Amino acid sequence: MWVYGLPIFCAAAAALLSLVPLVTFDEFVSVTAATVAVMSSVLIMFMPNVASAEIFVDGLSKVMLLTISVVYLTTTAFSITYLKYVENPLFKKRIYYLLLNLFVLSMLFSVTVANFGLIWFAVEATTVTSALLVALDNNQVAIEASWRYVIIVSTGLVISLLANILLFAASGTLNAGTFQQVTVSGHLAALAAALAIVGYGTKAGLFPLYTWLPDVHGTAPSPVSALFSAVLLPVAVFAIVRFLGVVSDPGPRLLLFVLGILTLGTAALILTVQRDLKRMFAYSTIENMGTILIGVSLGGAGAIGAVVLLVAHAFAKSAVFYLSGNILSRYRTMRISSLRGVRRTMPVTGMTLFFAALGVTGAPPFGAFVGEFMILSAIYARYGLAAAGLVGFFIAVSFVAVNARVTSIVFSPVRGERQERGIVGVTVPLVSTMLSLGVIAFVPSIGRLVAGAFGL
Amino acid sequence: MLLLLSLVQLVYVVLLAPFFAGLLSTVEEKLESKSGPNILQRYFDLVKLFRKESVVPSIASPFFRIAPYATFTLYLFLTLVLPIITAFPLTFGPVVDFVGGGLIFGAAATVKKIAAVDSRSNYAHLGASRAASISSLSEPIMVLIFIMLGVLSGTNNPYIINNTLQTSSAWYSSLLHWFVVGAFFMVLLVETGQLPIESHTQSEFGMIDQGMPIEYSGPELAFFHWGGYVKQFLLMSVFLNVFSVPFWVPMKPALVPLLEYLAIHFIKMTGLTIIFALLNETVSKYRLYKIFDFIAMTFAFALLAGLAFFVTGGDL
Amino acid sequence: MLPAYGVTGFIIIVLGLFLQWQVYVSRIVFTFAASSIVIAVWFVYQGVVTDSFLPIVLAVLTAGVRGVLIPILIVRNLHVTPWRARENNPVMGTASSILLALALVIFSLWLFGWSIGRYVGATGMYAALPFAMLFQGAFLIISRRNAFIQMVGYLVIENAALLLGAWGFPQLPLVIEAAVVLDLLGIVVVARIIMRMREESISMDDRTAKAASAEELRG
Repeated sequence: MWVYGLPIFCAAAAALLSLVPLVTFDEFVSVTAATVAVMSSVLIMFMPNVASAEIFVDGLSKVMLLTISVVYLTTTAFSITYLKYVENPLFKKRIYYLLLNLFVLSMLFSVTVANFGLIWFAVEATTVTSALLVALDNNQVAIEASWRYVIIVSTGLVISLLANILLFAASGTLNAGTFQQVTVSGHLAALAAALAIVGYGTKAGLFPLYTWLPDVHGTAPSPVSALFSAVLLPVAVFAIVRFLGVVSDPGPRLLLFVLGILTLGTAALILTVQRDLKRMFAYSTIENMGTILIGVSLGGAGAIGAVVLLVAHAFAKSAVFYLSGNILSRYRTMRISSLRGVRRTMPVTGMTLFFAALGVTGAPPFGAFVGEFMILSAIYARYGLAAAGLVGFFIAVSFVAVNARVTSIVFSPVRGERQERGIVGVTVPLVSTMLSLGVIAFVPSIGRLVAGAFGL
Repeated sequence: MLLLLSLVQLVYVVLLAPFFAGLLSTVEEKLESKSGPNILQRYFDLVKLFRKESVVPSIASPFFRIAPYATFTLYLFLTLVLPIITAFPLTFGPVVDFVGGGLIFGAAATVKKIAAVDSRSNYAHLGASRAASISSLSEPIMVLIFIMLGVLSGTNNPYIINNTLQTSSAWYSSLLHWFVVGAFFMVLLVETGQLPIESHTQSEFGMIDQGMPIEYSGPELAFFHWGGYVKQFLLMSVFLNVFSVPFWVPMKPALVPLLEYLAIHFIKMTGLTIIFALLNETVSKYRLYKIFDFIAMTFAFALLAGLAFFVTGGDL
Repeated sequence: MLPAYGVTGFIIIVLGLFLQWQVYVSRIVFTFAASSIVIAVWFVYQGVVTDSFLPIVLAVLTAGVRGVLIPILIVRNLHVTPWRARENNPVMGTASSILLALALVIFSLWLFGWSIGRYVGATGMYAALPFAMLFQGAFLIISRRNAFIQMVGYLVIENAALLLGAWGFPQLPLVIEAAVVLDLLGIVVVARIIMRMREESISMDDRTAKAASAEELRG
């Protein structure tokens, strides 16, 4: 039973131990804790679901646990090299690892705990712990972005607090285990679900409250951006999924579908005019989240596709952000027009970036493609050709926009001296990209695991 | 009998109005540890003014000379219709109801403003325009307050409102009532020219009520001042008798309670005067444009009275 | 029992309107502290009437964290940045914002009756009053540019959500409410730190406009 809490315990222990003022102790402790977390998440995969008063672990939780743990590991590993290149950091390395571990702790907590109110609390706690991480660069822009993040996301989370209250009023309980046996319906429940979509959607990058996302991703350090895109937003999606699983009205699902399409559309269109590399990838995240939420709103095969996309996106996007970090440390700018000829100066980074970008935008044979394909077929089955065509169009637009820019960065013929990053700096993104590729092998098992969460 | 009581009420108000104005000044000065003017100073000022000759601007029309007498007459009329010493209507009580009373107050103020404009003096114009903008906002609030009181008692009759509040403790302690009291107190501050709306000095900053009769002298000025004291007395009495402390006002015509009430009313007015003095010594004057924020808040209070009634669902 | 709801609720609304009236940040913060303490007093009353311990704990928590601690945190270093001590470029005048806030109260009362009003328990329409405060807080955030006032607006929203949960749906376990109160502390601490960093990092001329129009934050 305690195995279920093991990842949480690791993160907590790492957080505390990071404060020990030995020189590389914090890095060592964090990486070790992350490794143990990954191993225990794999172990949990094979253990039975549990629904008690405190813990609720079903298939979706297990998938999320594993994703979070793996990205935790890659982030802590990558932070080791990245932090060397941060000039004038806001706080010491120890505090960085402390906050990082606490951040991951709250996310791990939110996917295992049973009470919806505590899920809310954990998501709110992620805001508190990540706000300072965003401002690591300690310049005017980073601080402004961090402030906007705090304000917008906190306001959104208040709305989801109301959603929790209304859900309690409609059903008399907030325990996920109880909700497995009973679904709630009625106006109040539908209102609760709609508010939860809007509230948690602020954190998940849903239209129209995603304005904080590009700001934060553009200025936060790369490992932190990776964590945001890869796991924080999926945790918010997880919260929305839990709510939708409880309420049986079709209204909130329709709302989510419409908002998802709006998110996807606006992100895809803005992508075509992006000039900053990290902001571009931030909008790509928004676009992917929109697609994921469209899948979630459809249920059934679409929802499974959404989870596949979520996992594949997590690995590919974190790889992309790590590589951007590598590029930033060498070129000192993120303007796409200034980045040229990466293939010559940083060959491994360049090629990995090319493939990772393909993975992010959903090119076959990466996992994202499978996920998007499943979602598209679900749209087609439910809403017909026009809707599927629209969604496909937006996905295609973002595919072209992102990859055109990436190819211009990587393959442009500019000479420069070779300055590749060290072993850790290149291996980690490579591993992440491979994982994103490897997801396809696990699609059936993901489907089996997650079917329970979507009532299939 | 009722006619006699009306005359008694008239004499009571007209004779005592300068006393309370003087009391206010004296208490304020005493709070500042000064000895202050004589309590009866306003009487001496009125007598002095009656002995002086009146000087009239050459450009002014005949309206200029009539205006003080007109406003004083209107205030005298109001003393006959408002509940000052009785809670049952006197001879002239049925002539106007509460809204009508408010309108007559407005009429007197309008006459004053027209006379100020007529005098062609800069300060008079200044005072008239400021007073007009403030009262254009505070008069509707008064009407709103009367409507809320209509919810409370079912009529617009100030006597019945008083009776309802005296007899029904449910209504007295209801949120509607207290919001209305708060709103009317704020309107009272505006209408009687207390701080933080208006200061008693003659600086240009505060030339609202002070500015309008600036061209008057002699008996006309005496009547303007006296009318101002009577207006203040009437509004304070209405606040006390109808809104906040409606107790002990005799509801039936009986001689002894009435005489007792003359004394009680005196004490109530003194209490309110002391409250005004405390307020004047504590608060400072608002910048002119902030007066409108104050009025907006007054409107909010009056409206909240209605919302309170709506939310509590008619219960209290 | 019910009159207590009415009195408390309307005091909260009046304090909310006072929030619109004030201009100085310290006054706004103290008005917010006063309304937190009024909420705490209601919880004490609730605990006394229902003879249970938990509301009193919540009352102490509310009064301590939101009535005392957070106002101190906000106001303590206000003197360092005196140009932030009040709203310098108001979006709309004070009188207009009071009237607009009043209109919002009326609108939210109607909205409550139309949407959630059927589902609340015995307290009926009284739960509409914290619901109206939600909108007041949101209005405070939208209509002000000063970061401190926006934060107070956010705190007002959280206060109102707490009260709405307690009044409209009294069966809600109070543990959730306590978690909300504590969580707020974390947010405020982080927000204060970030605001202080904002002050130190930006140069003396028009601060917010310059940072907001920074090239990197466009597009």
